[in-house]
Amino acid sequence: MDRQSFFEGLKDTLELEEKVSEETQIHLTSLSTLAIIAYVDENFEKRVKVADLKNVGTVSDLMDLIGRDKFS
Amino acid sequence: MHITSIEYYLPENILDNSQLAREFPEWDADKIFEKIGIDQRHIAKEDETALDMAVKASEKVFSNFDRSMIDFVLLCTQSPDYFLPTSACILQDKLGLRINIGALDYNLGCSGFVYGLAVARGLISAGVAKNILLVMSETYSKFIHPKDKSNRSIFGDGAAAVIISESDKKGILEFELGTDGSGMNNLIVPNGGLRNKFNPDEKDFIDENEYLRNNNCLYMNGPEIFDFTIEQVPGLVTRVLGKNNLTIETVDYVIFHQANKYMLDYLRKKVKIPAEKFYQNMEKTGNTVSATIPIALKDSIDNGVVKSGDKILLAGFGVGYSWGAVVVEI
Repeated sequence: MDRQSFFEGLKDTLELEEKVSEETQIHLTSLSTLAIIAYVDENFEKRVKVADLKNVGTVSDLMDLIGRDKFS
Repeated sequence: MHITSIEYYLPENILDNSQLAREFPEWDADKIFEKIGIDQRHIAKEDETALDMAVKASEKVFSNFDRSMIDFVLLCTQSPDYFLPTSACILQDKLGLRINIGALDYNLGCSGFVYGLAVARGLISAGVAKNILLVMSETYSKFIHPKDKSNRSIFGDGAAAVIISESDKKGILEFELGTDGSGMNNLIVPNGGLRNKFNPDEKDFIDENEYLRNNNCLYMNGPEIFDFTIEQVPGLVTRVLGKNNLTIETVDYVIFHQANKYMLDYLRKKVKIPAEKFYQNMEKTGNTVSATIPIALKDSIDNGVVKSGDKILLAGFGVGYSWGAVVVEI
């Protein structure tokens, strides 16, 4: 997936007001965790574990978790 | 054998989203509805137990079935009146059923109806019983912390009573079942059993998902449960269809455990089930745990969505972890 589409998808998924970049902070609640699991599963056919998401503070951390090779 | 009758009972008291929004001002009623698809739930009164609700649902089912024909009672509940005696034994007495019959409780949640059908099919196939009363009755509301807005939004109380009878009809087809107890801590009432006794001095705390709770109350790790369903449900559906020589195209209708709208929307898309053959209606009842599938089945039949001769895939999944699916023909 190209990075821009990923950022836009993530903005919709997390219902964020601001434009998303790698530096954007991710505030993990029960619902946002669920939404990220669904978004990653749907778009990358990869399941991210809830425990791994606990270490995610920014969009960049999430991209590391998904795997940088998945982005163009 | 086949399912001959289904009835359900919901407690009178209703908790709607506007009431939740008043109790939790930061909680937006419209947003709750949009996410979880639940507008109201029925909540048992302080002195109304799952056993009382089981009696009411069963009495409804006996309005068109002779109770003296019942020769086995299966009661699925995680909120029994007592550790002992068995609630199903008390139910036999309260319903005035014969005494030369079998009765047992089993403790399962969202997968409970499918497991009840599996046991009923076994009992009838083995010649042990001919007419089984299968009751699912649950009052999770009694386990939920009053300040736990998340679980109070999702769960409702309810009971369903179903009769399964021996017949020439093949109404309960092949099953696929699964169990993984390693997920036990993700949906649990930690205290109150014999491992950790109920502690009246238990302190409230904010959990990792930012919800208030304490260990005497129901805890559900929503993201972990969601992850579990993504992992297990697609394969469960594929395997049960395979065992029944069906496909998503040839099965007439699909009823999943009515967990919440968000989860069901996602699973439906992932499994590629057309919306028109997928039941989704938890708006007025919420997640009634083991009772959701029989309530949905009854409503689908009454609404004419499900017709005689239809093959319906039922799938339940949740606490345990425990999951199961079956195809039934109405």
